[in-house]
Amino acid sequence: MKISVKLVNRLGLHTRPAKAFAKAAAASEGDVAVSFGEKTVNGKSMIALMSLGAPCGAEIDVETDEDSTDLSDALLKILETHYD
Amino acid sequence: MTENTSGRTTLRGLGVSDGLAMAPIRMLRAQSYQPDSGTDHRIDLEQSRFESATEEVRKEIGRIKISADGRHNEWTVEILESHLFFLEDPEFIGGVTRLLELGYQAEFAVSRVRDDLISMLEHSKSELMRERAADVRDICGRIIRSLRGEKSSNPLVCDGPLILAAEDLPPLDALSMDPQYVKAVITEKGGPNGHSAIVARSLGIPAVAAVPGLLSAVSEGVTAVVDGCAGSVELNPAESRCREVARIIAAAEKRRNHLKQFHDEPGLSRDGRHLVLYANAPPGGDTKAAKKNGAEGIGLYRTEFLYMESSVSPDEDTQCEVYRRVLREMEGRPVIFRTLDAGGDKGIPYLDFPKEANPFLGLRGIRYSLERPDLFHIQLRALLRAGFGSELFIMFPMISVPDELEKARSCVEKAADELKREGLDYNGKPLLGMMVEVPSAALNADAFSRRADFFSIGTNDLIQYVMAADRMSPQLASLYRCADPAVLKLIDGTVQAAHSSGIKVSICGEAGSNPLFLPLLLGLGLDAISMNPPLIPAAKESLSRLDFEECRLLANECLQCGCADATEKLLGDFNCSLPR
Repeated sequence: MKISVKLVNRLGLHTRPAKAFAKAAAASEGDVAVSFGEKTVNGKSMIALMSLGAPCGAEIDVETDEDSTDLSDALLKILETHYD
Repeated sequence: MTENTSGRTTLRGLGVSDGLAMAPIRMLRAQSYQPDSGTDHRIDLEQSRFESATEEVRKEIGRIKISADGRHNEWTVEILESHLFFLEDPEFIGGVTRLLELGYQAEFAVSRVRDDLISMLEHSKSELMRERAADVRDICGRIIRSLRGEKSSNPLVCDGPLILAAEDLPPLDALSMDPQYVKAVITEKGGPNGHSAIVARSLGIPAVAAVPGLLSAVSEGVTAVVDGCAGSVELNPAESRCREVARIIAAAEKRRNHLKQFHDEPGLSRDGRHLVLYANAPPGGDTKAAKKNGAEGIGLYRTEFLYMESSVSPDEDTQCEVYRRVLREMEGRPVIFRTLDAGGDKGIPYLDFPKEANPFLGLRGIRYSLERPDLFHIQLRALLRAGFGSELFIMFPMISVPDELEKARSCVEKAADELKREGLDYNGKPLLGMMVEVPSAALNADAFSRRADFFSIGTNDLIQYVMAADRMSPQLASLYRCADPAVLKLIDGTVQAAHSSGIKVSICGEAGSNPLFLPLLLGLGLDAISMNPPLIPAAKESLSRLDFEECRLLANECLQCGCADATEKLLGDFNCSLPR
């Protein structure tokens, strides 16, 4: 399952949203890959997500092994939340 | 760097936390260490060493959390939690495990993965993320120390006042600083958004970061003067300079102590007029700062934070527990709960806000709550239950027409009836107030004052709606001003309408926090101001020097001014004329 989303968070994918995302992704049995630009990282890792350096307004792709709308909804919600 | 013949040096960096300090330097040196890179280590043994070392660090963070409790705010607690979360990060654990399986020693595996992660963060395009590299360096350093059987350096042992100098202060070291001893922090690296800077600001410790050549310029025990405002570090200051700095520091200390005497006092003018000084509760609703600064209550408790922190709408029991805790912690002092104020700039992803071209003129505040009676009902039930046995203030945001207030009141009555039928404990006589932030509410204040139990003027939105100027737009700053006659007339009219109906009116918003406006707000007859907690002690002190009658005359003069510049000049002159 692949979804694309635009980051709304003013500071981009910083510690708090990255932590929330990694926590939610950890609930999935399969892999969760997150891409920004040419980089793809493990969505279950807060540090890896932060290393993307995705700013506000960035287009992010999320790819999950698991075909679950619950999972993708939960991940989308986090990326669409204002954390600051 | 400027240096003169007597060895005195001034280093320049980036001031990241305000304040002035003078003390001897204590250097915190990062230990460099070359781990064994052999691949002949026993896999199971190294695995279990790694596990017990991470466990040890987990405990260490727990201890720091306990020793720092009460000194920090929710921001710094968040930092500690991210550190704990890092210990479970799959990239970190996975990376280390892969190396251990190849037969590497745990120390080597951790330092190798640390370097990879740091280089990944440092290559990030975002300054904010690069500053997070310090967190990774810190926590991995601790694991390696624990693997090598070295004792932790936390909490830092201090025998007197000192200034910490380091290449980059590890965030956990920062978190365990005791402001009684650590007078300032200076670092060669770091920046304003680094966790160390955040901690220094939250503790009120002056800090200067990004000082080039710091470590080669300073040495242990040398006296330094640190100015966190100017971003300067003076080494070996001249005796005259030391005396001057000591005088400035003593005066600041005296002022803090002087302000302490107002702590338990109400906000009173010189001639005895009571202007209640409330605190705005910070995000997360922590009441510590309000109590520490002697707030007479909480004038604005924003309930939307409960909704923002959660990924689903918080249920009745969760909300009730949070509201109850606030009331309990405030020990009988009033707490004004504002019902959900989402929409505008505060989107909540799981709530179905429509896409609007003009969200600030859209479905926000009470408009949304009335549109979603199911959600509103849950919040009102939680508030009524939490208010059992206390005085309960409920305030509705964004009221524009009296009908909205009537509808909100019926929703409260419906929730109360239901709780009564269920035989639950609840507050049957809540005081129902409203924000005056839409110009229509201010212009029609007398009609509202007969229906509401109290008013709170929200200047942030009121100004932007009256002036049609976005608060965030730098180009419109000359339009967005509380001192504009149009804004002042609306505040004046609202206060008069409230008082002729015998209800109280307070003000919340940035204008209430601006010392320049204090005499004007007192003179306009406001009953209370709600502000950020740290500003309360100084506001009480300023208030004690004001005379209500004089301020009334000042307010009348301000209302005659033709423009914001004239009002601000009048207020500036008045403040200068006050007795010191």
